[in-house]
Amino acid sequence: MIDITSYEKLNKDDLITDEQLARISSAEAVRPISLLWELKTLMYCGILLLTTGLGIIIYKNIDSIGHLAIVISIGIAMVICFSYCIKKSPPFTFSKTTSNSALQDYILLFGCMLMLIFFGYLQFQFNLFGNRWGMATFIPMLILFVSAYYFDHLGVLSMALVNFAAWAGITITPLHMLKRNDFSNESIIYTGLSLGVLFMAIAYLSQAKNIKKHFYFTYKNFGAHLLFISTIAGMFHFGNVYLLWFILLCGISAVQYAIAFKEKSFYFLVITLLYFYFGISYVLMRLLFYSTFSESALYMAFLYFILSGIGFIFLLTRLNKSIKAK
Amino acid sequence: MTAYYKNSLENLYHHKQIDEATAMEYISKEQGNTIKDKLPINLYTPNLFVKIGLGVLTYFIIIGSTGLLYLMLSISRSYNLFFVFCGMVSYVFLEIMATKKKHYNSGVDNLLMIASVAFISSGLAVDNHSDTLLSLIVLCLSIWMTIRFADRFAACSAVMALLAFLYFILSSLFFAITPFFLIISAGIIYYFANKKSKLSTNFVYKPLVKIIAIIALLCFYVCGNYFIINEMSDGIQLPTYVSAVFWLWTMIIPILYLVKGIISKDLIFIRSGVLLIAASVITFKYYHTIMPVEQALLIAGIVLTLGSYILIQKLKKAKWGFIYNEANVTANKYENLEGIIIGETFGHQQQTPEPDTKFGGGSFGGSGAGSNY
Repeated sequence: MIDITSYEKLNKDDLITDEQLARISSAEAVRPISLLWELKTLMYCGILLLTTGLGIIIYKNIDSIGHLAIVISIGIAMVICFSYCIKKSPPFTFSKTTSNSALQDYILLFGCMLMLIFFGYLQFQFNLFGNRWGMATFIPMLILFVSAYYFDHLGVLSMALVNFAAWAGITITPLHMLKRNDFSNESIIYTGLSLGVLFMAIAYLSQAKNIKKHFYFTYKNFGAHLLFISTIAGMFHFGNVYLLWFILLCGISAVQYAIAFKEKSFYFLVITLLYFYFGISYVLMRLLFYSTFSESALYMAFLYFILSGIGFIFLLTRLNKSIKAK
Repeated sequence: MTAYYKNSLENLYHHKQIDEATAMEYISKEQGNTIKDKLPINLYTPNLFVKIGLGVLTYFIIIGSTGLLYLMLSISRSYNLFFVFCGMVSYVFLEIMATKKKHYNSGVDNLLMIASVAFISSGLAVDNHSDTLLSLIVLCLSIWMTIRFADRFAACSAVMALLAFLYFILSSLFFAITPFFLIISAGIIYYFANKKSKLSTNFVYKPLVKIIAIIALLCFYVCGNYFIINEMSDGIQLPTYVSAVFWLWTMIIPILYLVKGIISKDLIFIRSGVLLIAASVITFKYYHTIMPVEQALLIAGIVLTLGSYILIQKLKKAKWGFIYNEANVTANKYENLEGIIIGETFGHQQQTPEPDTKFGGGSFGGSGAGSNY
């Protein structure tokens, strides 16, 4: 929000001219207020409520409404959404499309949601894919990926990645990643690791080959968190070889750190440092408390948290400065 | 009064304004930079993510130091003294970080501030089991932190603590008029925060006053919200006309906010109006069931989607002093965040129930991934 009193002060200190002040205040007096984010948020909430309500209604009345009627009406709505997007969207390019309107983005989102409900329902009611449950997640996921790339939509890409991981057997939505996955299961740790590597590789390729460069962050974000969480889970799970996993964590951290530093990304720098801090603290706590619980070990532990905390704070502020200076 | 150079905090405000003016192209980028160079800021405020990292690390340090102190002093009694002592130590470190190291909203000072308020107030009030005393202590400490460190969170906590303090005092004396008194207090806070006074040219405290006004505005509604009144009255049956008054309040205030926001072109009122309409609908749903949840969701969804669709179409050209302008946002800073939120909320809606769940209205099935098919 432009605050005129601030400019009056700047004018008094001769930092902006009288004409500029007059121009700003006259322009501000008639400037219409932008409701961009407000309306976008309302639209988003509306679609969220709408699709949730629709999902529950179908689920509850699954035995009473005519199945065909449901399938056909969802299908028609879905086709309308997608055809609207196809009609409105510019021809496909490998670079970022700039002309997408928010409205079109949300209609695509709605269409994708309907598509997920549609396939879920078909599988549930008509056993479309038989017992090949993998297919029932695979086909919608494929459509999501195609839509994300064709219509250039980051949200749909996130949905596709979440569904891809679900197809591989793990949950990767940020708030559920720790809660829903059973990390004492070895196969989940390995799946997480390989998905992490895969996503990082795609992230790298999309930037190097210039295929939807701006998808880089989404891939890398999922990939990095998966890698870190899986290695830390590995440390917990494989108790006797946890040092090997710790070495792996160090390696991943070093690579991530180098990339973050090169890209001047504060976000990846901080998450790398925090995951690494978590890992190293785990190793030390394990060494301290492995044999027996003693008071001196407790002293050491508290002392460690103080000193390491201070140390990492210095490190972080130093790095912050050097990234800024770059 | 502030722990920082007054100029630094003032210049911070002007810098933000200059950024807005350059974004609106009122002044050129070069001029903006020369002005900024003449208004130096001697504060340490890192990037948001670095802030979060520093905050987490400070948290570990506070935990570690408290534990170590506890062991070293081998305390068996007088916990309250120990807590007060910890709070004092946190405060001393806060002073050092703020005055010597110039930390301002760096994550470190925020955590130390919260720690010192929490330690001191719990140390002083825990033994007495007195909510009144607790809220009074939090109020005093928050006011001091607000003035001394110009901190937004402390300002919010001061307003809340003031209202809580009034509530605890009044509810023991005259229970019946407490809500009205609280509503009036919130109104008075809003009035003074919004009044054109010396504070409107005090660029150090101006952002805080704005936040206080917003909190007061929200409390003004909340103190008369039917759900809150009902919960506060501890199961005492309210007379019909009294509950009618509060229902009216719950339903009308958000709409008044919205209308006021539209008339006076005030985004704060518009946003709180919309938010509180949602709160009122939820309050209503809590007590009355007109229709099943899913139908309500569906209808609300349709209304919201269609409403925002129509508004977006109408406001593409400026109308009634408002505009929906996508062209103005050249680079969408939040697109990655938007993507993550969509993935989080929509990613798991897929309903592929397993074969044995072919019943209507069961309580399980769905929610997709996690299990291996």
